[in-house]
Amino acid sequence: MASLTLDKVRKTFGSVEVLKEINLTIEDGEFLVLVGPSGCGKSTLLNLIAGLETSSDGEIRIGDRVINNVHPKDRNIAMVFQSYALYPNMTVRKNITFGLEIRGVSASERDKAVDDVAHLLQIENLLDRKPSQLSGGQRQRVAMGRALVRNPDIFLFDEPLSNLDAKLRVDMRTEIKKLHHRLGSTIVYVTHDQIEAMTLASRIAVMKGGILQQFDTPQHIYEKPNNMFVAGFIGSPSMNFIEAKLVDDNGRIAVTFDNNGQKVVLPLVADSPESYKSWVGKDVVFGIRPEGLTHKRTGSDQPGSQYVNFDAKVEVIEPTGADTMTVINLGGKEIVARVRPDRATNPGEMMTFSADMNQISLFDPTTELRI
Amino acid sequence: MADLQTYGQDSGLKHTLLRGLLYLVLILFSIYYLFPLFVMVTTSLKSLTEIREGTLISLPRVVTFDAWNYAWNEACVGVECSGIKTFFWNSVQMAVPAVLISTILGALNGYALTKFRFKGANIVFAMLLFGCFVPFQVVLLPMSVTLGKLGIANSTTGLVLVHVVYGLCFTTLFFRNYYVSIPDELVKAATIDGAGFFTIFWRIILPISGPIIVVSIIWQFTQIWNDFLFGASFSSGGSAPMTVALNNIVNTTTGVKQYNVDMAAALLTGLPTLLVYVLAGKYFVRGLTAGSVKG
Amino acid sequence: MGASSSTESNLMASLQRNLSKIVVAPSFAASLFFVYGFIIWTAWMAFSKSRMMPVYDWAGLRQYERLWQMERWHVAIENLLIFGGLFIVICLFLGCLLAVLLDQRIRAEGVLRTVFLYPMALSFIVTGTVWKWILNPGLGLEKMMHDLGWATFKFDWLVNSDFAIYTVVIAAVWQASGFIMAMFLAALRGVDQDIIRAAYMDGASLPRIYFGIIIPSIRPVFLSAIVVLAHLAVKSFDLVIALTGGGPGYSSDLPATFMYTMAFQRNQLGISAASAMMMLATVMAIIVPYLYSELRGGKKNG
Repeated sequence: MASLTLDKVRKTFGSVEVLKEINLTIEDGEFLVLVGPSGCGKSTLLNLIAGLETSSDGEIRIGDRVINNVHPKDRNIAMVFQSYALYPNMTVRKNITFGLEIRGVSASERDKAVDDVAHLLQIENLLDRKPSQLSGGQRQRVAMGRALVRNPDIFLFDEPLSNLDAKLRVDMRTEIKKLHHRLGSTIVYVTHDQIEAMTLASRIAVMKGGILQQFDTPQHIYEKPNNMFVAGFIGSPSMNFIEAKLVDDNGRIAVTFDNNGQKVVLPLVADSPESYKSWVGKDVVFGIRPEGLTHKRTGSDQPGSQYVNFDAKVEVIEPTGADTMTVINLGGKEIVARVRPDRATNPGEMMTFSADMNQISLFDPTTELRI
Repeated sequence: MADLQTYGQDSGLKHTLLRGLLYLVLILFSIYYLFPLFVMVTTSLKSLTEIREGTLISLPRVVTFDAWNYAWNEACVGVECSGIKTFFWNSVQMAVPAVLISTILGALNGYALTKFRFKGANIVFAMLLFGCFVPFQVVLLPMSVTLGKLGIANSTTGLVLVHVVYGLCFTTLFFRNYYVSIPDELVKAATIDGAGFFTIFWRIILPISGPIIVVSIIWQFTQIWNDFLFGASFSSGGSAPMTVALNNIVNTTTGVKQYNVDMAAALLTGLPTLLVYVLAGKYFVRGLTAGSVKG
Repeated sequence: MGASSSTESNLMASLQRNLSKIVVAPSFAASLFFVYGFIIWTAWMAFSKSRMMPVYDWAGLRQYERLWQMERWHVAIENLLIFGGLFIVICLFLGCLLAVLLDQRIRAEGVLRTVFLYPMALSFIVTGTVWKWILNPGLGLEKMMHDLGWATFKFDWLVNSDFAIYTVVIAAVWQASGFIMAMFLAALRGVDQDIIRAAYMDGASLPRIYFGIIIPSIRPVFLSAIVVLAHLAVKSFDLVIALTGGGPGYSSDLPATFMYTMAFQRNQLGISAASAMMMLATVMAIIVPYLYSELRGGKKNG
């Protein structure tokens, strides 16, 4: 077990900069998830930590040890791959012990280690099979077993669940989380699935275009996204963005935007940040998550309430069971509201919505950064 | 597959007639392709008198293996009249080492070029690949000078060298294309497990290369065994491979033309590769399509 | 682990990286010498005064001029055009036809495929030997037809200098058409079944499906097949030697046999080298554009 530090890490391929000055530190026992769309550099970053590629600049430390030039096998890390990368010619037992064998661990110790791991992952009955005789979920377990048996400082997971079907993916997700709780190990986990990121991580690093967009706890990233990309990437359905303007509405700052010819004015809550003041009179992007936009709430008529009402025409409804996603059109953009099923109306009808002004984000329309 | 059973043809009589026609055409084609083999076998089993009296398609009245015996033990190749058997062994001595060496080198090249890529690996591969397409006539003259300088002209060793050098591009192509489809993650996993270049090759890659090894061996064996150009150019007299000897027997102008002996010798020459084809046809076709742009 | 071991593993890592190059180096060197070096060498010979022995005095385009003044070279080129053209067209037609026929859920398809393809496993010398026997006017096909009652049947192409090259076509087609069949069959099997189903649902007849949808969709295979066959044709050597020996006279010579004869029998090394360079140029003219388009199109796996 150990902490991991990335200090100004850069990676270029020829003239292409795929990673730009990444700074990250995680403590011993943390679960770091690197998330982002494909091509964002998250896998390259993982390969740098693994030592499968070398960084162009900066320092990577495990604990206090700088490992930039250390061979992968001497970094005391283990990795689980997207395709599992099980050696097809070896049995499960051989697959798990191959790394130990290369390192010169004695046969009796290897047997003991493989038994422990097999017990932990409940794959005892699979030990003498070949990978081709295993199901996807079983391969996944064996791949994890191969990593666990080495008892490494850091576990690296490269999109380990993306080859599983939906049901199994959820099960394995829970299992990985349990395993993390039980072993208390340090984990770096790459995925493009924001739900995986949210559910597993103790901290998330959101990446795009080789740049670290935000590095924080899942909840904080969800509530206070640094920029429009993070806001849109994390959360499903994703955050609504409405082109709006900040105005002074009788002494209170309010967001205003056009709703099919009508002006909607949504006053901000009283304890809004001071910084908003300087934006009065300017264009902003008003971001609100679907659950911040609901059917009319009780108490929303009271003055000073965090809920502000407005009317809009319902275009489409998408029931999901627990909630009904209600699509409305604001300023030419489709906006999703999360409505309780019994309060949902039919398409074409007018409906009153409550915006929860405690759950809003404002962004600079040019830099797309959070205000 | 467009499937006649489900798609198409109206049921009943018309369908049956069409199917019948289809099979008839296919059988006629089979006869065309089998005819030379049939002629070779029957002719080789006839006596010369029977050949003169009968026709191509008449079956031997008396089956005799004299022609086979003569071809193997007594037929004259040039001035040497001890049959084709010494040349058979020449071909074996030439083909076995050449096949093995070129396959091993091809496997290593393919592995290095795909799993431990270095800068310029693609250019190196493209340059190697070019060798598959060169008409060998363009290397004949320099090669005969070089073999002479190396002191291995007219020797089996010389032919082994030639076949290894010009077979390399094919074997490298086979293995490279096979290894490209093996996920790199396998090598990454083994690297993290602590295995190095040769350990990974020996313990992980080679054990899963079975099919392509077979393809490479079959391809190289067929090519080398069947080669005539190099054999005719770089060997003479007693060191010649079997194809050269066969051509020599057939085109000998002295004495009575012994068609049965010619056919027996031709069959003997073709037998090893035919056997390989029958036993491992699947891999043979794979090799053909993989190295299809060749001569 | 301290600094020293990290330098050590650094060294190891660089050795590992270089191992790859070290492994490829011998093959690459061999290729540089035996392929590229030899091409240059031959090119040089073609510009020299070489006759019986290689000499390296500059003679400019003299050998090429002599080559193109030779009646025999013109015969060889003409033969190549006849042989190549017929060989390619017939093989394509037969190969495609057989593939489509075999694609009809044929019982014993495996056996038939084996039968159509086995000639490809044989040496051209064997093929030449057996066809020489079959086509010989004395005891072969002609006599068979006579005995079957067709007394006027005449088939002397093998010894007729106007037709000898066509016997090479017959034997070559017999040998290579099965291979083309295999190429087409593999392609047919690779056609998306859903497209065929969709066309069938639209009411297209089976011939329509083949001519309108399947065959156009395997067009790239036609190109590959043509390249393979053209390449085979230019390099054809063994078959001619075994079947006709280039004769009667030199009436069935091809560039490959011409080159060989000049090099090893006529002691005209310069002309021989020049003809080899002409062959190389021909093959390159076929292969280079093809490879270029292949590699560009298939960048992902190439």
